[in-house]
Amino acid sequence: MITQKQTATKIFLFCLRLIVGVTFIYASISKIAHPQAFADSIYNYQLFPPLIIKPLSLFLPFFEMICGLFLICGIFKRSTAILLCGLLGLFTIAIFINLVRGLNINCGCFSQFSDKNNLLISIVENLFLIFITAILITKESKKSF
Amino acid sequence: MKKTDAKISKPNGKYNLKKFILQTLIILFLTLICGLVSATFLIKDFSLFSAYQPPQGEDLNQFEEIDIKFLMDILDNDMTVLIDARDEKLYQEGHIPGALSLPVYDFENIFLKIKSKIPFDKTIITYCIDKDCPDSKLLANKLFNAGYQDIFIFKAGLKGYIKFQKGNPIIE
Repeated sequence: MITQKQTATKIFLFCLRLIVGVTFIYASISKIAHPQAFADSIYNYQLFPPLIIKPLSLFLPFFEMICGLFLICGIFKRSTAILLCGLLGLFTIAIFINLVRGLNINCGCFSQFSDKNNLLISIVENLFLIFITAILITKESKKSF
Repeated sequence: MKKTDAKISKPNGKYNLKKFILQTLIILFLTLICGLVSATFLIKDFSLFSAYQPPQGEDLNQFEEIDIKFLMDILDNDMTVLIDARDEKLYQEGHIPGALSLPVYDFENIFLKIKSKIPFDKTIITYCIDKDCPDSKLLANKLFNAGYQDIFIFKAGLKGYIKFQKGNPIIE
């Protein structure tokens, strides 16, 4: 029998999945539409060899979109939460490295044509999303794994 | 509890890891399919199998070039930072008064040390030895990628400055 508390937890977790899922789907749309601009954004990070920039700019947005869709639809919930948590961790490290380097680049997180972003704000946003995905990883049912 | 339910909820780490890997592979497979379909049918002018070419050719020419007269007019301006793109040793031998040294071929190391002297809201002017050297353009491109917006190139370089000064001392 499903108690009221369980229902509330389910709704709460769904809201969290919705936040992360919509964020990643929204972030992927501009990247999918403009892969060359996204490749330029990746290049600006000065962290990757030229050989992997194009494949990364092509496949990464679809990975984000699929994970976002799966998370919202409740497919492979814990797996997608773990994958997105790892991805956010990598993004945060990349942004942090450039913050330390003193580069004022566009983070390329959401729009490829926006003005120069505040990298510190991007890190805070990422940490917030990491926190949410961590909740999903720990709280989502083991059955969904 | 049914046998199948017991199997799914088995709190065994190894079992869960297997399932996680399988689900990750499914997501990666779907990503691969979507990416390849997109690259083949939807995206134009995007070759997946060629190495990424930074937009150097166009970008290097996008920076406005200034002459000595313009340089002299804005050199005393507080909003301007003049940067020597040549090697540190050449800079020590002689440079335009007020110029900072930021060797383009050691950009990553030197930039960290002097970035506090180059605020992002300032106008940047780069130069190298003469009109034929590429270093000033390369440095302008690196600074542009680092986030600077207002960048000019003093094309005549140090030789042009010396010629203009007619033998005046150039080391501060």
